[in-house]
Amino acid sequence: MDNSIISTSNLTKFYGNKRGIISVNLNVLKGEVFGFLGPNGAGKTTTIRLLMDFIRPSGGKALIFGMDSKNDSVAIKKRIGYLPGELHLYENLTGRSFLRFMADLKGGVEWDFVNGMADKLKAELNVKIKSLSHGNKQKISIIAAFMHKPDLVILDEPTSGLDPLIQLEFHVIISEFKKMGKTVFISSHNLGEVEKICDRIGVIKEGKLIAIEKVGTLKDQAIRRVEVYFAGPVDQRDFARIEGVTAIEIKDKVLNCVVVGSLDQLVKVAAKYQVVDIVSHEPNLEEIFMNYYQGNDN
Amino acid sequence: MIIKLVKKVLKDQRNSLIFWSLGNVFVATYVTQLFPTVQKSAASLKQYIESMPESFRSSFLGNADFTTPEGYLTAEMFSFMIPLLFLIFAVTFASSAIAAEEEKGTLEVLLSNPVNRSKAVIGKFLVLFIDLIFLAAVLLVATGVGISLVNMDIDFYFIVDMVISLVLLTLYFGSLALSLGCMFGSRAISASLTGVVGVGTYLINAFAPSVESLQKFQKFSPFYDYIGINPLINGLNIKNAFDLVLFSAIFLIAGLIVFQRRDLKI
Repeated sequence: MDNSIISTSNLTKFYGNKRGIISVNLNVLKGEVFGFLGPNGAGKTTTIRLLMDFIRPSGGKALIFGMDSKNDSVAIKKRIGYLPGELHLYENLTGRSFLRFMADLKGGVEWDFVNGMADKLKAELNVKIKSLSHGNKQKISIIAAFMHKPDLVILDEPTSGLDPLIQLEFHVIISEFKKMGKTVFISSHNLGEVEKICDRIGVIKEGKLIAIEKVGTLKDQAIRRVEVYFAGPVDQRDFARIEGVTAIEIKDKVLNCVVVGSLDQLVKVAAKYQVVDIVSHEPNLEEIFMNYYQGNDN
Repeated sequence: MIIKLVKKVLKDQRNSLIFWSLGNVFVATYVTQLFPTVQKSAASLKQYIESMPESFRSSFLGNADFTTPEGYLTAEMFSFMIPLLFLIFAVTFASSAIAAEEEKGTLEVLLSNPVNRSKAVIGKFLVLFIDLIFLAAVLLVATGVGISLVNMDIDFYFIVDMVISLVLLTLYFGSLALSLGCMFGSRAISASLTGVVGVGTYLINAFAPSVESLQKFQKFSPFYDYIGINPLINGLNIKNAFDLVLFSAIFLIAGLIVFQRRDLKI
């Protein structure tokens, strides 16, 4: 059974001669949180606009729920929640009347659920949107994106400028949605965030999709620096034999090395000695990301 | 879906609609209540008007007899002042109906819902139509009350015909402005192009009787369709009214087709 929620084939967009995205083949599966990573101008927003049918492809196509993003846009949007990168709300409405309007257009919104979200996010619904702070506007937009319990949520750089407390609550909402079997597509240039909430990551560079990996796999390929503190002296040769362990240096009962991938073998060898402490520096997706970029440069 | 959108937009512009209604009431009351005074000095006014150049008379006074109720209302209300009010209202609203939402980015919010682009445009057009019916009703009531207060000898049904023609003229320019807004996504382009067409076709219609080279173009002017065969005197001319409806429909459809196909600037 085809499990894809979003599936693009050779999706291409040029703005005149200007590159938008080129031949993007993307497959987002049901129930996953998919991170779409890349620096500004790489084509993230272009891709999202194509999915949302705000702009039309120059080539290729996108299927969402198996339907054509252009021809079946209205049917698709019934099942999509969307949080734009830049918020442009109807400023003269209050939060509540804005959400009522959105609910009317979407149909099938349970107002209790909306109130519940508003409570959780501490959203201010009785004030005109124009007098709300950026953070409060974002809360309203987040509610609008999730209010009809859509099967797919598309989030364009959702946490840019989001205050840390809401960010936390927002991550909770996303994980609750995932538990309900819903799919989340999230674009970001913030690796730390994507690493926390995503199952898989697609990396886009200069309009081309250059990598799709599970977050776990990326971490497995991670290069990290490890320090092991021993109670007594150790033999360097024991460690030199381990695959993936390099740059070994032993000084004052402290082993310094660089490990690619799993730490398993290193730990097993170290266990022959009395270990006082192991310090492993968190793998940094930024570095992996950079490796992908540099690796694809040639 | 479309009804929800219409309701929201109508609610948004409540205040502006009240303001425009008051403007219409003011003009209708002022003009009708002045009629007895004007009629008293009819002879000297007639002489004065006849001394003016023909083209000036035709363009600004509707080339009508100032001293009859029909001629007076044509000159003082329906050849310039009231259409100006209606057109400014309609073009301001219609040029920004889609374009302002696109420029501000709220179109992104609107169309992220299951709303067809064309339906969004049709919803805005319906609002324009409802507004015009409302303003027309206010104008009719104000004029009706005004003429009965000063006992003007004019058939109210002719005024109804005149106002119908006015609504159709306004729809013509409203549809044009809405359509240009849909095509270019820019309030400024839409309003200024519509303004150019408005002024141009107005002048063609006004000067055609006295400038021979313009005569062949007069019938293409929406202002000719509106008042060339004066509804206050002759009743509504069905062919001319139909022309206005036809062009409104053509503009609207052209706007819908382009808007449905193009990339949005959001």
